[in-house]
Amino acid sequence: MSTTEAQLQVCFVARQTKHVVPSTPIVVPAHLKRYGLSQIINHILSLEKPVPFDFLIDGVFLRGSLESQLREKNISMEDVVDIEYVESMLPPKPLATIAQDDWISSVLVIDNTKFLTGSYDGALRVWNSSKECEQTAKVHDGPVKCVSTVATSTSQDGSAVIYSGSQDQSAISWEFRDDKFVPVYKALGHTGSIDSISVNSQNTHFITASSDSTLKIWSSSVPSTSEVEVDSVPKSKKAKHASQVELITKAALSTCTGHVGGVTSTLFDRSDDKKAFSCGWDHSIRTWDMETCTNVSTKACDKVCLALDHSLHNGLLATGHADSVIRLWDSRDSGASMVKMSLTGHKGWVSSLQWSPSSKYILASASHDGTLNIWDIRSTSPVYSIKPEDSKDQSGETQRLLALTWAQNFIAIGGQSGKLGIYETNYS
Amino acid sequence: MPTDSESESDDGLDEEEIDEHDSDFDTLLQAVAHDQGLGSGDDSDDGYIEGDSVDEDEEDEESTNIDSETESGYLTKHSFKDDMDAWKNERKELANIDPVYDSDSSTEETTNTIGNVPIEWYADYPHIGYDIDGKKVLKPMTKDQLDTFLSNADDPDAFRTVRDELNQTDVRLTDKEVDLIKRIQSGQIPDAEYDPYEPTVEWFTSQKMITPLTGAPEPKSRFIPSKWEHKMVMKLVRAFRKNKSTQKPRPEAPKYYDIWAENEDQEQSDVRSRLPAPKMKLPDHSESYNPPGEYLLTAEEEKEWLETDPDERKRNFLPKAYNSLRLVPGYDRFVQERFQRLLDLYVAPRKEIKKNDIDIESLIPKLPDPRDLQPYPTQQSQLYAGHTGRVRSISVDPSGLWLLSGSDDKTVRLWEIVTGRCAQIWKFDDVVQKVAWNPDKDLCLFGVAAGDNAYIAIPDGLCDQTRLTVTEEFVKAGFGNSKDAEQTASVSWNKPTSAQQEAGIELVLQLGGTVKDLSWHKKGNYFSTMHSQTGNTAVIIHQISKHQSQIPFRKLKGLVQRTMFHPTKPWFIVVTQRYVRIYNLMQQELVKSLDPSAKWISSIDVHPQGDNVIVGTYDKKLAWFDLDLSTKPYKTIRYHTQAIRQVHFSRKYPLFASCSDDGTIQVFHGMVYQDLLHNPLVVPLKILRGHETVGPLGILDCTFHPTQPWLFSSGADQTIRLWT
Repeated sequence: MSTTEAQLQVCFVARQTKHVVPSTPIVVPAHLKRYGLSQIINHILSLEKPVPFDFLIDGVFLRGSLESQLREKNISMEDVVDIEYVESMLPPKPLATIAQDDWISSVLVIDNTKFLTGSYDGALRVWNSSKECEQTAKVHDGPVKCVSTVATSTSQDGSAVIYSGSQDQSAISWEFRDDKFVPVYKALGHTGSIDSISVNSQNTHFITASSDSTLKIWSSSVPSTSEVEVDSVPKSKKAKHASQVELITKAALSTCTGHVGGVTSTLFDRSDDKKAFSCGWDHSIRTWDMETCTNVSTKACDKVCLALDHSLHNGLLATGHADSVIRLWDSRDSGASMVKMSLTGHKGWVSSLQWSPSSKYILASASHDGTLNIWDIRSTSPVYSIKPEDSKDQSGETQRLLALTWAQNFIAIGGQSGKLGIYETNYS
Repeated sequence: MPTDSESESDDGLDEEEIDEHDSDFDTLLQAVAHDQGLGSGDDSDDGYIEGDSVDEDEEDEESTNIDSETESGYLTKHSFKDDMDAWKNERKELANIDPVYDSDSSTEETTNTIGNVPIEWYADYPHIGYDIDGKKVLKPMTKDQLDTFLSNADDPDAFRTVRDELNQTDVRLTDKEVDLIKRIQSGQIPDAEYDPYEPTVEWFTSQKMITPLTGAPEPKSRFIPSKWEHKMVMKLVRAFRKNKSTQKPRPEAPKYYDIWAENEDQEQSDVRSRLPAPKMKLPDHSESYNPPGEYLLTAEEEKEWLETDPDERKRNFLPKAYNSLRLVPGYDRFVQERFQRLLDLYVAPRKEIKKNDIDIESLIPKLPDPRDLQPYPTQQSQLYAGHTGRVRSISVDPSGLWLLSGSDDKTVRLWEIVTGRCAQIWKFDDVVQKVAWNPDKDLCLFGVAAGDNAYIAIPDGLCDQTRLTVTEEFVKAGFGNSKDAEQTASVSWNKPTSAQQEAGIELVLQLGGTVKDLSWHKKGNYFSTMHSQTGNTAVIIHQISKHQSQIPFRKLKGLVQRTMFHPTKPWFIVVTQRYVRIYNLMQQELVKSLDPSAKWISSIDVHPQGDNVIVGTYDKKLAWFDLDLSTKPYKTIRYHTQAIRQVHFSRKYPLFASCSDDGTIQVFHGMVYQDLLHNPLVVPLKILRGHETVGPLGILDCTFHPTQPWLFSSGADQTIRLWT
């Protein structure tokens, strides 16, 4: 052993209760990396099956050797260093790939058993876990751009409700009846493509975001009569969908105006149904009061914002931008318009992102560069970057990913390739 | 008085003169006679006084000679002329002197004139040269060796015979010459008559001469006091009287000197600025005749020395050791080295060159850092692939969500900008030259130029029902009154066929030739088309609401390249091959004619505020015009290596871009200030590369996004790219 070998005293701290080691300081060589420390923990716990651990110093993941990380953070090597350890997140395991004809614009996981895709051919398709298409519902006149559901709804008790927005400027509410999703009513009023739709947790209201630069709030109750007169449907459309069922139409409760360009994404505050967020082409991220439909606060960015998600656990807003960066904002602080954190790692526009349903650190994002990235916000680089094997077409062009959803253990992605990718994570 | 002997010798000389110049002599005599008359009056009594004639000239002497000779004539009282004739007859005839070369005995006769050339050259010829008349001088008979020997043995004068090689003759030396040779041989003075020991004659002695050297009287200045001296003395006297000092006061020398003070004397500084010639290096040990061993070069070093260029050698000699100074050979390069040194001294300027202390950086105009001018497109973000031909034209819809592209594959495609999805395809019968969205946000339609037709189409499912209705009504409103309008221009407004109608095409305008360009007025009611046909009908302005077309120009100069409506003023811009002409449509007159001094203009765009125009040309130039300033370019930018195809201003950001056949797009910051004091600021920002060039064609069209700092470009490589 060389005499110059640097050593330092560390104290392992665990926040979870599964794997706990005594908190006595241990002397370890400074050149150790994550794997070496993980071996030590495994050795102390004398686990039969080795469990990989990740280590955090001052809330930042250890990437590289202890020595370099401490030096970078200006932490003295003389003192006892507290190292928090967590069980490593395993890479999402690809479960299935289901191919369909046209581009997938939106995906949804219902019940952990059903996978729903909204497609550019205007159809909603429902797939079960054995890759079979249970239903193809083509009611929209244009490409389906977004689908949404209530997190608590299941198909078992028949309360499953989904909403779909389309480029035909309408949104349709669907109900699960007789093993099928049946369109209930059509929400009309937008003058542009509906790019995003969101339902509140109680399924009382939903909001739609459209490229006509407005947000509209609708109540989710089924109207008794048609509230909007559809006077003249374009003739060309008539010819295409002659068999189209006439749906009850519904008018919006109120309209939120304030965005200057198209609104790309909107979402209810996951903890407070009276608040909603939206972002759009005008580089702004806005918070809305749903009761009065007023713009409460605006966070200004300088890049077009394409996707938005709000975390229930840490209250952070994550936005995906047209400069391939994911930005994190504090949604509770209405005054602060500063970016809390920037996650860089994508090489294309970030088209969709979602927080982990259970963790306050983990985030998944899908990008036009064809990759699905899993982030832990304690580190600015992605934890995992997954490229579906069919991410390139025959001519070598990257197939963009357009949709992502994370429900419990499943991450579903879809995009230009028309393939629905389903991944399973150990980190629910 | 001249002596007898003198007069005699003179006499002979005179006779000859007389003989030669007969007529002159008469006049001379008359002159003498006249002189005599005068002289007899003065000098008849006392005659000539000895010594008086010291300064007299020769003429006087001559006249006296004649005078003495003709004394008898005066006595006999004969006429002078008769006497002279008699004398002429009586006098002895002397032989004329032949004025040939050898009349002087001192010069030898030289018959051969070949000069100082070896006589051997004439050995093979019968002659030995040429005489003065150019005639050959024949070789005299030569004796052979035996004869010569025999004759020499017989001849007592053989010892004094010398061979004259030039004339090939034997010359016998005279006694005098032999004597001369003998004297030279014995080291005596050659001239026998020269006496080196003659008694000295004291021509100039210390004794006083009896007569002075000159008889001139004492000059007046010797005995008259000088006027100027008198004046000077008087000045002094006056000064003395007034008790004044006569001396000039000396300039007072300063008591102390600042020896470190800067000497401002021009001459001094001039001397200082002159650099002394560099001194030669002092010799060191290696230049010794027997240097210590460490100064001697090894074999490798010597080889290296020999191989290097003489100018690059460290030292210009090879150190060598000799046992003694005697063995050191002469320095063979001495002359060259001196010459080099002198040349250096002569040629090199020994004067300090005063460098202008200018910071080159300060001369470059201060441009802002491109990073401060963000946002501007820097990288490719999206690729819209699908066309199977060159994409000639692209257009972004006013909302900024949809992109339209027209291609050589005879299709027009509609793309969703965010996702890159091709939403709709229209097929045409001809190559699509131009696509253009209607700039009116309340309408939802676009124009396509393909073949001989211009099409007006409404895309499917982009706009809501009310806008769609408005647009349809707007487009179809003119069908009622279109009949009579057709006569005004050779344009027919046709209803689309059912297949076309299905695709969303609402209007078909049939024009006379292949439509090359189509551009909208900002309000969306009017659009102009330009087709390949020459003449005034090439440019037509159409009004959609009334289905009317009109030809704005009675005649058009030059080949029209582009047409465009001015964004803010009622102006119409016509781009011909060389010039950009701006017409006022209201007053029907030419407003301005811009000259970018280019051979062929390709493209034009007007700044959204309307006072600045950029022009791209096929000869690689981009010219920026300030319409308020001049009709000449405010700035000309030559950065592209190939023809510029399109230029475009961003509507929202102070950006403009040019795309070229070299496959690059160049993005510039083009800030136009509101106040008239500032000139527009143009800063090059970024060169975007990514498009492949196909043959001679690169990027064919580029356009900015209406609301974002994004740039779209389409090229011959069948792709459309978005740069953000």
